[in-house]
Amino acid sequence: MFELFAQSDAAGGFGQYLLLGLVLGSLYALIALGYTMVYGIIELINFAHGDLFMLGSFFALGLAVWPMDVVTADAPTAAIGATVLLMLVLTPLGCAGLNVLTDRVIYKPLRTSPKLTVIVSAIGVSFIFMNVGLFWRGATPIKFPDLISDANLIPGTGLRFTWKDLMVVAVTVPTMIALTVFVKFTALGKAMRATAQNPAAAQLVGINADRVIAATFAIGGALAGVAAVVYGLYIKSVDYQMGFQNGLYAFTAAVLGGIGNIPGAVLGGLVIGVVGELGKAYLGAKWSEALIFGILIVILLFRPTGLLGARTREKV
Amino acid sequence: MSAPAPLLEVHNLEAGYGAINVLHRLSLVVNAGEIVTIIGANGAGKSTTLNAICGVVKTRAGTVRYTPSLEVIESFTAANAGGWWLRNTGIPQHLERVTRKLARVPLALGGFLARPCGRALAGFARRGDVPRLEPDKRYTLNRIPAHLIVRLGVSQSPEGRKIFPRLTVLENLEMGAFTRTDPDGVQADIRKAYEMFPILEKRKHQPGGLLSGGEQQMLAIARALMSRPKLLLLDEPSLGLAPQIVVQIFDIVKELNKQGVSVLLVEQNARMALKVAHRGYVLETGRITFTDRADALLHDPRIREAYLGE
Repeated sequence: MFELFAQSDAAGGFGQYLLLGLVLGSLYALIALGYTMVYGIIELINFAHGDLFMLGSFFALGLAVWPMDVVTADAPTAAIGATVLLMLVLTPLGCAGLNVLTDRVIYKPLRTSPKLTVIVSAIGVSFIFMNVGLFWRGATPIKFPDLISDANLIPGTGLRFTWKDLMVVAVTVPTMIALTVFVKFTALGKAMRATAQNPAAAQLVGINADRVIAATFAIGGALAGVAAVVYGLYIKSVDYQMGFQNGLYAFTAAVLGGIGNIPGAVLGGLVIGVVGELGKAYLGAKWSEALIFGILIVILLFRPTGLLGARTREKV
Repeated sequence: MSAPAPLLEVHNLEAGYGAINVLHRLSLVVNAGEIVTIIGANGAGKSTTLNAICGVVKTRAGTVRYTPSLEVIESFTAANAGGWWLRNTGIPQHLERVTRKLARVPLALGGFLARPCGRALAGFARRGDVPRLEPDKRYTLNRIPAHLIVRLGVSQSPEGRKIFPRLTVLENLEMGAFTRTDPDGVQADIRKAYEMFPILEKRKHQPGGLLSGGEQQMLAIARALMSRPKLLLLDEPSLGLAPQIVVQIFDIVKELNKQGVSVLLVEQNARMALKVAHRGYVLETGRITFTDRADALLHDPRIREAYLGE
């Protein structure tokens, strides 16, 4: 115990905070992608996305204690592996399904309504999800099973990079690469970009906009599901309000990077993760949020479209 | 022998935006193999007409009837029969077998429950099914979702800048072939598009939004051709193009027409349009005021004064 403490103490310093910030940032990026993809295609800021992420983590919590009854890192590695794998498969599926259902039942009938109407209903859905969460697991934070070891993978470097950190990176980075490849090279991915850029022209070439929008909600939801599992395993505590705060960070990340822009969301997530950690380290935790949003304001003052958002409205 | 049904028959069409009706009881006909042009001033409703035919603008009254050729029906059936779900998963076929079995349950032995359940199952199985086409039938385009109209062989080249600005030129062309399932044919048609407009090949990896106005116009036309339409709707193809390219585009239109593509051409450049077209309609504030053979319109004093600037 003493050794662990000494180790983490020695690990202090700029490099350590940077590393931690990047790990957390990739988690924010994963959530931010859900905001940015939905916004890109129907110009809706889906406020319920953060709460979908919260419901996903509650769902994953059930998977941890239900099929294998694995609740600690002491369980056999194979059982832990199987449990984590099960979470990483079923939670995204559940979140994708819920997101598509929400779109079908609530947003789709409002497709031709003014933008504000849809945004207000998204806020409503956010509250509904939050209260479902409250009803489901109560108001007190719940311990998420601590399944992944905290052992340092790079001892002797003065830095601390645990199995948990590795897990975050090993899940988020391939997910984001897979998403990029999907959007860039597959027919559905190209149809998504086409619909986002010009919905009328997309119909003219025979793209079924409803199907593309449903697919976007499915992918956004699945990303929230992946993020929910990773978050639970990493932070080890979940509660019904976590969707609000993390959703707000992720939304900020999406805006920072240029909303509607996929690489932008990733960059924004990383920036927010790093700035948040450095702020916590050097200015104190209470200033960290102020710093994040201060930077957001400054960036938006000089680049209103976000860091990578060269998104200009095309002439009609 | 009665004349065959026209390829496209628009009857008493009304369409508009918000409280304003742009088209007032507009009727027109395009026969198979024809080039028909609609000429008219800016804001007369030319683009709205084309958009209403393609389903991008909702119609308020009237009908757009379309008779697909046997060839379209065959290729449509080969490519789309039953939709992806029916062709690739095998689940609907299985559900239909179950439905048939349920339909044989005697009424007395629970058939009164089993049969409706079976019918519901069969209905579910056919969800998302692309409608089956029957030969010699006329399809009412304004009751078909816009994205299915392309599959019937109707393709629009929209007025400038309706390309996908952040897709590359090549991706724009690929999107034009979105409904097709023959990758080799698509590749061949992309090469054809490059032959038609060599500038597009030079810029194939550039985003469409970075092209000049004229190049975007060429891209829009090339993209519309990628679906191998039987009826091509061209919206202001000469807009923003240099005169020699305009001539080239109208040559391409004539060439396509010789290959059997019917064309509905909307143009402000009335002289050029009437020179290539067989027949013409004059559209004034949403109403067809005049129609005749194109060469007759070219020599009509009223048209000459109002639209040919003489």
